[in-house]
Amino acid sequence: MIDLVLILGQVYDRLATTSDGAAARALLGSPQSVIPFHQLLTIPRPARVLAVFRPGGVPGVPLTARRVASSWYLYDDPPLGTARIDAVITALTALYIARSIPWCHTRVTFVSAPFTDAALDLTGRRFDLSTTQRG
Amino acid sequence: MSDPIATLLRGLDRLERQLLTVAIPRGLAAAADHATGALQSSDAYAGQSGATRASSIAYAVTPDDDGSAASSQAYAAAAEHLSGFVGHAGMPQSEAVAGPEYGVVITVMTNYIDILENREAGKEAVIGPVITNEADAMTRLIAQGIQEALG
Repeated sequence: MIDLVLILGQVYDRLATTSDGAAARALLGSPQSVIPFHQLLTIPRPARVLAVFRPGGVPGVPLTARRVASSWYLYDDPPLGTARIDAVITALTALYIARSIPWCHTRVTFVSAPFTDAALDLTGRRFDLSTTQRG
Repeated sequence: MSDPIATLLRGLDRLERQLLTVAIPRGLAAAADHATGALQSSDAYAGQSGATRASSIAYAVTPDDDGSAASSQAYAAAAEHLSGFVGHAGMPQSEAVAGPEYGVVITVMTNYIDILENREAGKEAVIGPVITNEADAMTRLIAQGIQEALG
């Protein structure tokens, strides 16, 4: 069994650092525009489009859990609408194909409608993933 | 002597009725109870009026029960907590399930739950994490309920 934290790290890295993720990264505001959620309010806000990663919970009891969920929150400045976010979502859909994470089956489980985050003063959309160990 | 084919068909008819009217509703109800417990125990959001926690509910819907009694009760709870509350401008919000369906509705009866679900990258989300975290357990409970009802 693969460490579920390791899987979440691979999901994050796939956009943040891998060569496969370069095309999607190029649609973001800067190379620093991929961050984990705990940095959202603690570092100067990177250029938009901004991709914020939130790992989800682990269903089931620890010994039997084989699936992990995670989300990318994609943000842009409100006057720009969601066109740039939509382009990133298209790129993420291509990036997270079924066998994109080693030894796992990955699928996109939800893409939200655009929303306004008044606290951040940003427009956003959420992109959810489910990653299940194979075998 | 009875016709074995006719007997078989009557048995299958009984099985189908038992499945649709007893077994599946029992499984869905168990799953809904489980999800309601998870919703009620969430500590993701701060909670100001108490309306979110009071109206967080999961309820089963079937073609015979659209869940309106459960959703009305949750709506009333939200309305009670928000009545006279001046900390924010949120309002109770009702909803209805359209059409004959089997399922579990997981919801909060306020008009600002969407904001909580998405604000600051889901910091205060409650419904999404419950779906993610409890889907496997709920599926098991539905299967278990069906199995128990069918014997």
